[in-house]
Amino acid sequence: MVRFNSTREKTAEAPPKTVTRAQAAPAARRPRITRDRLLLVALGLPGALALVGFHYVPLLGNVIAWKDYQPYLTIGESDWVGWANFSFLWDGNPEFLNALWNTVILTIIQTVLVFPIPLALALILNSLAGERLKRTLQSVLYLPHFLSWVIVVALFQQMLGNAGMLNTFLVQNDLSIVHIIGAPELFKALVTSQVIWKDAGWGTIIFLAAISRIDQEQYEAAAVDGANARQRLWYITLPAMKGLIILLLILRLGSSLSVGFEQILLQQGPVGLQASEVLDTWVYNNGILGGDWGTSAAAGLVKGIVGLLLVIGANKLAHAFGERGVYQK
Amino acid sequence: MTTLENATIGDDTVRPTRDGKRPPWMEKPGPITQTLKFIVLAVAVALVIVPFWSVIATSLADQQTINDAGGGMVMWPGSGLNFDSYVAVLSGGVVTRAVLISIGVTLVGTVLSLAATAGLAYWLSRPGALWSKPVLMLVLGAVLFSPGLIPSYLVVKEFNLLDSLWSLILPVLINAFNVIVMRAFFQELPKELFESAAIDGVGAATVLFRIVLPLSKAVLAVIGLFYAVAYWNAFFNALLYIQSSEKWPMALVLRTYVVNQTTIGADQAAGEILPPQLPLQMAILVIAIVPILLVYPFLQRHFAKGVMIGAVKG
Amino acid sequence: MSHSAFSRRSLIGGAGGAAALAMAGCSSGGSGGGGGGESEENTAVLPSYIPYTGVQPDLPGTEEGVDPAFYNFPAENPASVSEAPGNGETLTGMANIYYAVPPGPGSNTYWAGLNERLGVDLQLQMVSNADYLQKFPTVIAGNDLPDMLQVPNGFPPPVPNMPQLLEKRFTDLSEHLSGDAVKDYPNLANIPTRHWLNTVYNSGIYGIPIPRGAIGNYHFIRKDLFDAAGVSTEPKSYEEFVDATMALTDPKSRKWAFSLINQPRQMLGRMNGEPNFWDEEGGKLTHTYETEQFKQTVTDLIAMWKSGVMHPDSFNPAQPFKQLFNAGTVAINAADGYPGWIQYQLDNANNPGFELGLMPVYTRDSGELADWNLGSGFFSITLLKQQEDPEKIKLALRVLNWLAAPFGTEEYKYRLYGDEGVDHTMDPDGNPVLTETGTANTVLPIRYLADSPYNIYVPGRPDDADVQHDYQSLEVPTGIPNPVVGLYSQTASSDNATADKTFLDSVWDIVQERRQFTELETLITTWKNAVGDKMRTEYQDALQKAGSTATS
Repeated sequence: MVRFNSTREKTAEAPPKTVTRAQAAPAARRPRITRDRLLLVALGLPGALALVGFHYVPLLGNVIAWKDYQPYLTIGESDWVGWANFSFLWDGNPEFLNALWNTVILTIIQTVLVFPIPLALALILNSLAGERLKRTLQSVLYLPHFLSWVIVVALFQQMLGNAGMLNTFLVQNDLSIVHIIGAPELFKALVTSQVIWKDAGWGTIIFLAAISRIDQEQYEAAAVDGANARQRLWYITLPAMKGLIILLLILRLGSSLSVGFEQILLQQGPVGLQASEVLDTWVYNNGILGGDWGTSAAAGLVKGIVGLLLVIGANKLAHAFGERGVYQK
Repeated sequence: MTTLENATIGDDTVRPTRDGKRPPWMEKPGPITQTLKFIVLAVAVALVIVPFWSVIATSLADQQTINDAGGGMVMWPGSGLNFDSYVAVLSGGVVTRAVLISIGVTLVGTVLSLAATAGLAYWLSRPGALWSKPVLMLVLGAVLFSPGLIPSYLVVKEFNLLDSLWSLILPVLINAFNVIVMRAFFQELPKELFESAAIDGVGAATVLFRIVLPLSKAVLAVIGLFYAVAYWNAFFNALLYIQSSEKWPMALVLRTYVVNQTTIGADQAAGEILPPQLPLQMAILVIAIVPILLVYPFLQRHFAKGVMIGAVKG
Repeated sequence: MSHSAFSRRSLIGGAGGAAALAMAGCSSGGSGGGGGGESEENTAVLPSYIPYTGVQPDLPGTEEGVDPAFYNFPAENPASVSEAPGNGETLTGMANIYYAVPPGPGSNTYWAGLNERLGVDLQLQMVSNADYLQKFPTVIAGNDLPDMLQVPNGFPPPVPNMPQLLEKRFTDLSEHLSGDAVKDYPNLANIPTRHWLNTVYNSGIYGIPIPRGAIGNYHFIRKDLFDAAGVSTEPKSYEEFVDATMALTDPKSRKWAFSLINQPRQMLGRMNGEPNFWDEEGGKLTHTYETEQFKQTVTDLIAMWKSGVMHPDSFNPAQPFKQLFNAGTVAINAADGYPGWIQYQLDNANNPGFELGLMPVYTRDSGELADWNLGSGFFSITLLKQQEDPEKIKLALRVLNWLAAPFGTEEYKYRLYGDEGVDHTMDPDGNPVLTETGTANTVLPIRYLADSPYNIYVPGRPDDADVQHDYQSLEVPTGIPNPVVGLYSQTASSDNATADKTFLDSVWDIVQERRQFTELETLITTWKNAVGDKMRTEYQDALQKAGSTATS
């Protein structure tokens, strides 16, 4: 029986057998291997070219981070300003620091809360009996993903707003209003719960797909050996998903400085910038609205570099634990 | 979505029971666990259903009912239930056309994206493949760094894609995140498969099409769904690159209906043209969601297939 | 719309906010108009004003800025343009759209008919208003300009470095429009001079203004709700005003007086005698935030919020205030664009109880009308890109001239109502009524490329014309202008939007008593240091340069 787990280090290196066999008939093999390797490249080339053409070529445009770019001049014509656009990093700009702080707090909250919930939901769904029930439940749970943030915010407003359904109900029954929307101290909780509401169901998809690949015989054998549901979960299901979970976590770290843009922008009004400004909205409010494209580009680069460092660090950490991580040396 | 019950084993002829029957080795969970699970799921479902119900109800309500409820959304269309909003939205011709465009873009885009992503992910998943390390770094970099608005526009312009529906597909053909996920799934395929293939002298392309893809239906379905939803919901590229309104996809039309209503500030002299009424906005919202909801059940079946034990054993 | 790929692409690389909303950005820019520039003198000669006399209004307009009014659509519709502007050329344009997009010319008889009458193939890029601020710089950067381009609306136009932008990419129209040159385009000459102030940059006329009435805003009220509460629709003192708002409020039955914080702020501002953004005295400018009157307004707002007469979500800029007004949840809809009159009437045609009214504003305690804040006079301006062939400019101007045809002319009738029988039918009083086809087809945003000056006209409701005309005649004479209309300040166009938002957010915190009133002083100083002083300097400089040079 084949055991699936994510620690494929042992089997990653080609087992000696193949090498000897290859060596056994080298003359016949080599042309095939070379052509084969090129074929491999050819299969992936269209995607790679699309990526380079439409993602990396425009990335060159980030050179405006060092320029004073004006849309009516070409990038080439705009003046160089050295590191001036990056000055927000060191001139102690209070709005930037506030935005940074909010971003970091939000990303920690969201990673801790938002990440495990789809996993937990997936496990619960998985443990249900009844194929149809499972499918229906899943279909229902991922519905909110399809709504745009404009709608989601409006819906939350309608339900939880100060004159929303909940509060109307309370008022009509002589209870006092609960201020949810528009309370700065609750903003982070509100935003996080919106993210959970919108995407938790959707997040179960990828976990369920991973679970679906687990060999059922393992469960059967384990049950026969006397393992109960919890033990099966701990010793079979979770280890099988370890690789995916770690991968997703590392990628999440890479974008840890992005905690939502449109969602937050839509709701900044009632709570004020102190509680709600994050990096992306700060860039928008200061960079785009004021036509300061250079600063936006600079901020984007900074976010990318921070993300890169986090990914490299997390990946190394994963390797230290014997995991595959996102990439290997 | 698959369940342990109906995962295929071996040669597909031995199929465990479906639809509600527990396999013999699985014990019935205790009452506490059952209740907890039930509560969690019930709460989750209710939290989702209630607002959606409200959306549908509002789309069917008439203005009077809405006024009586204070001008916001309602939970019950009441006596004024009508389909006028749907009729109004669909009879204009604009929405129908936009839906068709979106369907076309989504279908073509998803197929092309899946193909390109699978090829790329496959290449990068093979250990020792030519140039795979630098290209992987490239893909990872794409996850971390995004190009700005104006440079992207200039590139699309240079490729002569302005006002073409291809500008909605090619610039987003590859989603780096999806590539990395698919690559991870490919890497989990048992080494033995590839070894036997190498021994049998099977080429890389054949391995991909005859072995890897058939066994990866789950991840293909998932990534395919991710791409499909992204294409369906995407409006921003259309906003930037599409110049004639006849080529607007559904998502952009939806946005025009919905977002303007909420963002017209009091200090803007925006009273010139009738803004859409609330039922109309809700109707168009429902219309925007329905096609995707119809697609997912088909994809769910594919999650079930794709367990590859049999292939290794056989 | 938050799939990982999309949301990540948004801003990481910089220059672009994903799915951005042009919320406060557009017109919260406290002050300033779009004129002047970096040059030494601002000596553009504005177009002569030659009013069109082919159609006479029932109630005439005034030079101060009261709009002319019509009870019914004129029975005679003379042609104001003698021949079609074009001869089969293609002309491109881009403008914002507030509503659903109309069908394209292939399936839109109205559009096809328009092309025929114009003699051009008019290709329009329509961009929803919320996204216009994103699209505009992209189009500029791409150097793929349409022939006619609408500047993002707002006052001042939220376009940084406007003078340089105009000089580099757009055409100075002075030779075509200055003084009597405008006679070639009689419908453009029909636009009163005060609307042209905002088109002057770099001592040249760079665009066609989309005129807006001097009145700017109305203070709409639900007269039926006022009557039901037994409240006068014209409270003549602060106390009466407050009493009125209290009488209109009943949270249990979901009724409030106001739905958006900006609305009582505007009304109280007038009541307390705040200047119209800036106060000018002897060439020196003081901003309203710096005045004692503003502090009084803030004090009043604190009291008002405490008294509960404002909808609990009043601080949410995305509040659907129009819907709340239609539903009767709020009784006052102040400081809303005056063209909304027609819209509200049409929205509520099926609601027999609905009665729309207007509330004049009186001073705090003198029993007299408070000073009215005159509007900026324009919605946006339309720019013409630089063309190699000067004939193209003339063609564009002729097309814009056609589009600006005055109220009641044959061209106007077609522009607004399309073909009889298809897009509209005539009611017994001779008013065109849009059919369903017409409603869908005629929403082409050409009215943001060129438009005639506003006329009060509510089809099927001749009394409304009286109501509005009376209101304007009452309030416009008390109007004070914004002294920076026609002047340009770089800071006002770029940094002010954010600084203003930050300032107001903190002020709203004070109103909700999350902060102490004593902090207001600090906030004002911060605002001054951030943008206030810079704007003042720039505007004062521009004021000096414009000086006594005749601008009209």
